[in-house]
Amino acid sequence: MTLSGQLTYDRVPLNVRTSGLDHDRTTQLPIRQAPVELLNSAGAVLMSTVSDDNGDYSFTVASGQTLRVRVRAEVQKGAPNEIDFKVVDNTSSDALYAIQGTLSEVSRVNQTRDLNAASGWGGTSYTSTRAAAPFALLDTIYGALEDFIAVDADIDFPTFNVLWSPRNRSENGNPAVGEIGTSSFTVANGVPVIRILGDADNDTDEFDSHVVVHEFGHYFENSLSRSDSPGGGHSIADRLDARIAFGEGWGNALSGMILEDPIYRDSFGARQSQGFEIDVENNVYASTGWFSEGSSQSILYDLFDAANDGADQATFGLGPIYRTFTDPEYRSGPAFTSIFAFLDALGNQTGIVESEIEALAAAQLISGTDKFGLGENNNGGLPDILPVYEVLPTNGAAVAFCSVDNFGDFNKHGNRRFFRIEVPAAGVYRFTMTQTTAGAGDPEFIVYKDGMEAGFGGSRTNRVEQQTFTLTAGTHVMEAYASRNVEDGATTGDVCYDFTVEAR
Amino acid sequence: MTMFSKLALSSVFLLGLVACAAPSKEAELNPKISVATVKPGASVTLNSVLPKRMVAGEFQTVQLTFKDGYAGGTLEVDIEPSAGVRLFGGQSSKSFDMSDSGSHVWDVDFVADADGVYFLNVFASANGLPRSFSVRLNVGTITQKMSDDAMKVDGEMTDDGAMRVMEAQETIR
Repeated sequence: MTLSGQLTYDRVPLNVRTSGLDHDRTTQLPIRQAPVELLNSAGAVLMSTVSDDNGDYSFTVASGQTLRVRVRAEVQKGAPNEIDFKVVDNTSSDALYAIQGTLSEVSRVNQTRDLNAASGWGGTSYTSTRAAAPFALLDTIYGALEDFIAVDADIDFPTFNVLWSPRNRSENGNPAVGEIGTSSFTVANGVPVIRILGDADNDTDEFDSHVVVHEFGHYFENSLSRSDSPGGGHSIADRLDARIAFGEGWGNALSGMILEDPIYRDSFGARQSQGFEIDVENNVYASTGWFSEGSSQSILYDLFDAANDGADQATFGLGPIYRTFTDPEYRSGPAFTSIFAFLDALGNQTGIVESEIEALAAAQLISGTDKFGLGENNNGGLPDILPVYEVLPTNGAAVAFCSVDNFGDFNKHGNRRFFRIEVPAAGVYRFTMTQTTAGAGDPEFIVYKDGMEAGFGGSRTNRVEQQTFTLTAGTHVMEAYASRNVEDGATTGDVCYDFTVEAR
Repeated sequence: MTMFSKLALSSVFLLGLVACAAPSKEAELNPKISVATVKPGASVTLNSVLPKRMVAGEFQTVQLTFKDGYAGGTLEVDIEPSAGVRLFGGQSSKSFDMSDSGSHVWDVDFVADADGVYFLNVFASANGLPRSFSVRLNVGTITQKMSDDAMKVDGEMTDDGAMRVMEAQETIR
């Protein structure tokens, strides 16, 4: 006998007017590439297979047995594309989500058992099991993986988990009880994890596909490329640290690319009925330049899309963008990850028309010409922030700079100053950061070589921070800042310093 | 700054203390510490200070402190309490001038009629972008059942806790 069927889940779309969830237009989509198991009455797995892209599965079984069908919320694949990701309940020790049917006898003729993971929506609230949520997440992310496989047939995806629970709330604390802060990406215990909100009537994101792909974009950067972003809160109106501006612009733009919809939507509120949108095809932002998330997403999406608008004459698709992110020159280059480093590496890809990149950058008031933003003339309202990387000699000559809070703290434009240091020969070098203005300022700095941390000056001493590091020859970069402008709860302020580096 | 960022900085700080003890470090390259990249939304954080003990039927005050990452504009905040909690003071909405430096504090008075776990759903909006927050209120003596009832999860644990299984809608033909 054949026991077969189709597996589906409820997909709740977003209302294009409110950006809230539109339960009245719920449709059923196939559960693709998920492990399907046949269990006996004792719960033992007798047979297993994998659903196809239509959600179909099939087993050959003997009649008369009492069996149930179970579907696991994960995708496990081997060569040519290794995939290992699961949707798990972070409030239950990362238990894997699954759906199951009833224990029923297999008839004497071929039997069909269709399973649907329902949304649980009862008209005005969730009234039954929210089984669709894990499978909506599974499907959204599998769609993203497919698009990357289409541009690299050999791509492997390092293991990652998607953490979801109806207990996942917008409160910072212990993720094991659902206090995840908000939907985010991080690495927990060595494993990349995408945490997704599930708090009904406050903020749920399982059906907010753009949010999910945005966070997947951070996984991609972390696991297949590189990100130097300091993380933290951000918005398209902010003037940001160039590294988070680029990373978040990438997440937004990627959601438009993968979902073939440039309108990023995020629902929230009572009955998930409210929402907001970001048009990644938009080219006009309150904050425009290398420090703008909006500018980064505008450039990245225009590089991708076929619709030419304004300065956009580029139609490169995902391929060159993917190859740039994974180019060793970018992944292990000396400069921080930023729009400068990305566009510089993109220019080295085959089939790229440099003038089209330059036009898009110019339209966003970005004029820096190499991975360090050499020659950039947009200071974003901070007259002393240029050049983007201040060159720091190794002869003890002092370079003055300031850490300022004009646009907020932690990850905003001007909080941290970038430096470039050409180390002439391997050896011991003394780094000294000396406060030159009054008040508290606890100087700190971090030195990097090709994306790896080479030294940290953060001894909590006031006014002067001095450290010696043994460095290899070559280009290093450094971020330096007043800790009061990046630490939680501190009173921010403008603080200036002199920086010296000298060989010992 | 998020908790994750704080953790990252704390880790960096610990590394710094180690660095202090050694005058010179080897040319050792270390992977950067993982940070959390959060979803787009308003650059607003919330810290809540709860009463040490919350008693059913009595007025309580929770202090909400908002910190914004903006140099100007208006921060709008709405609060929607979960069922069983009533707000007092006639306000469930408030505005703050973000050009004021420092934090924005709101003392929210509420009362819960019975012991249990409740939530304040807090919705902030700044520069046209929202950010949601949730504040947990443990009123009275909290039992595991109260906590579970307030934060229901679906499905049953199986396979020695390795799996959370939910019932599907099934059609057998």
